[in-house]
Amino acid sequence: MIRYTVTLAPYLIFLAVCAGMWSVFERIPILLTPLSAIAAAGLSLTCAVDVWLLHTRFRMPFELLWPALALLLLTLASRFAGDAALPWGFIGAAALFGAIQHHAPKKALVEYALWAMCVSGGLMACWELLAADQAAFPTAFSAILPLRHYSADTLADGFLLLLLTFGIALACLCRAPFRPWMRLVALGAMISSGMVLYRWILLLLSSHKSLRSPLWEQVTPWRLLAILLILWLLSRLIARLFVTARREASAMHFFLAVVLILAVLTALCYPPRHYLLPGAALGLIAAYATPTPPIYTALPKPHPWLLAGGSLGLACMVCFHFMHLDPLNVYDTRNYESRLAALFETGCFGELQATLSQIEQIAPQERRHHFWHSKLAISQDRLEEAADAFIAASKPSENLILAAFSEVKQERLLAELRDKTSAKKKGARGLAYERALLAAGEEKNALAALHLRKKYPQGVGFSPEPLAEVLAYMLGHPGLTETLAQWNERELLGVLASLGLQAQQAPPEFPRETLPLMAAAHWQDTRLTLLVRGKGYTLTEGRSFTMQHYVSGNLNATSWSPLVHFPGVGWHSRLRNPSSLAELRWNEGFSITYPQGRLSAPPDFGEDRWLIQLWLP
Amino acid sequence: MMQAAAPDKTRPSDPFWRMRLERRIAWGVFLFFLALFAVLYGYTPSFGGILP
Repeated sequence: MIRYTVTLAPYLIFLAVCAGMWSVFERIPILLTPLSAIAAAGLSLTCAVDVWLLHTRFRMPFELLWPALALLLLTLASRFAGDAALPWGFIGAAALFGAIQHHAPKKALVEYALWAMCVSGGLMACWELLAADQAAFPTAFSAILPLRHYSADTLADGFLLLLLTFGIALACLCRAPFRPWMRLVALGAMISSGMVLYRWILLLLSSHKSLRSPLWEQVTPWRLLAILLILWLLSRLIARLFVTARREASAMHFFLAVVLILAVLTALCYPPRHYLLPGAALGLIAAYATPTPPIYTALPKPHPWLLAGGSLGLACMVCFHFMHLDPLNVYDTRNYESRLAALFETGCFGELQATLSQIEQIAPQERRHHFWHSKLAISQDRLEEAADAFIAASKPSENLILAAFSEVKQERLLAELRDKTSAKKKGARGLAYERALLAAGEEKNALAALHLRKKYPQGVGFSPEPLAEVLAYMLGHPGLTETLAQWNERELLGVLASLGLQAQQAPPEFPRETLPLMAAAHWQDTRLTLLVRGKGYTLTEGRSFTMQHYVSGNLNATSWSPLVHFPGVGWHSRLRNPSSLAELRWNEGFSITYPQGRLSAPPDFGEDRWLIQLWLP
Repeated sequence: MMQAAAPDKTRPSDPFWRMRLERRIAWGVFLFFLALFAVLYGYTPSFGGILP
């Protein structure tokens, strides 16, 4: 029985190298563990069984064994010493490196495993190309963030895997004993991985300064020792490949050595974060560089059609959503709802935001993305932002990827928004809930909610139309002007007062025919909106999207400054704050000016607040 | 009496010769990697090179 378990090893090798490319998305249901990790554990176990129980000599050359063993012990020692400088992945990679060399003494077997690896990598590259052009969701961990959205973490891994795929495919292409169709498949893998590599190289060149991985930021003694061991191991391996290439006149050995050098250069610039597949690939290459003992030449090897079919089957399983059948797999970004819900419940808002941004990169019009964005903003008490996201989610658009959300969920979100709004102080309630209601098509409810606000204590004796128009614009529905104009002025002023209206007398010299004059300002993130409406003048609207430079200061005391007349320039009022955001000017008409050179906002500028000033005659 | 020929340690077919060549190449590659590592993580910031 024990002897039979060891015969599984070649199949586990094929599984490990094929599944390694898709290491995130083919997790085993329920266990939620990557398939490649299961294969790696199985290989290590069979290796241990073979050596300890069946007393087989461990088949690994000493010059490669000692650095791998030292790395394994070093990682364990650093962990036991309480230093997390070296990742656990080193242990897995070192174990896999040794186990593959022990179990793959036959060159033909290794060649087939390398070929299967490049087939799997080529398929991943094809899928990556599709994902980059928005035809599909990205799938492998290297492709979690598609080409336009990347970070050092994911890009380094993907780049390294694609480089290995490209090099191994090139090496397979030079391998004369391979059948023509196998070499053709290798050529396809080389082309597809080369295309993705080319795009990534352009991307790296354009933004290499922002891509520093934090892994090597502090080169501690543990890390330095680990780096030296890994570099020595790789140097020995490369040297052995070169010597074997010369002795056997083998182009495959030569190309493998070259691709290893390139991989080391890449990893030095951008260290990878996942180690299992690099460990497996190194194990295969090391096994290939070591001469086959004559005793193992009779070992069977799987049929190449079986390998290609297996790789293709695995790719199909990943690409065509099969794992979606497991709703527990919250690591799969395609399990959108369950993943976001899990992140939401565990309070991982940073990761939630990252996932949302990722979807936004792929499908900016995706309504479900805006829906979750709104939910996130509500939980973080950013109600106006939540309303904006809700409005975007309610707009009819083509659902590119995800299914539309149900009305029940929409109602629940509105109820959450209502509760959060009512929990706020009266002067800081804003218009988020009403705007969301209007976006949901519940105009009557929105008007009723507005109507509930307290009336203004006294009337001011002028037509309510300017107030109604400004309020309708503030709600984002100019069409409501006529409806709101039917309200009396105390009701409208009450609503505006609940939003922070300040009323004062205009200077006696200010042209009376323009009064009452109303100016409203609202800021959110980097956007400033201004509305100005004077009697007899149409509403003037201005927007600025350029507030990107931050200065310290507090905007809580901000208001519109009194109207002041400058000879030759005219009347003007500005938003009072440390850096003067914008100015309202009147000289035979209203205008809004933004001092572009000085536009700035403090870090707490994102508060949802309207600033409304009413100048009375 | 014919004397057995001493092994020629300068031929590629000789395992010792291969081992020695392998070690030499390994040291060369290792020192190259080490120099690159030192440049990337030691001196690069002052030259404004690849890494910030």
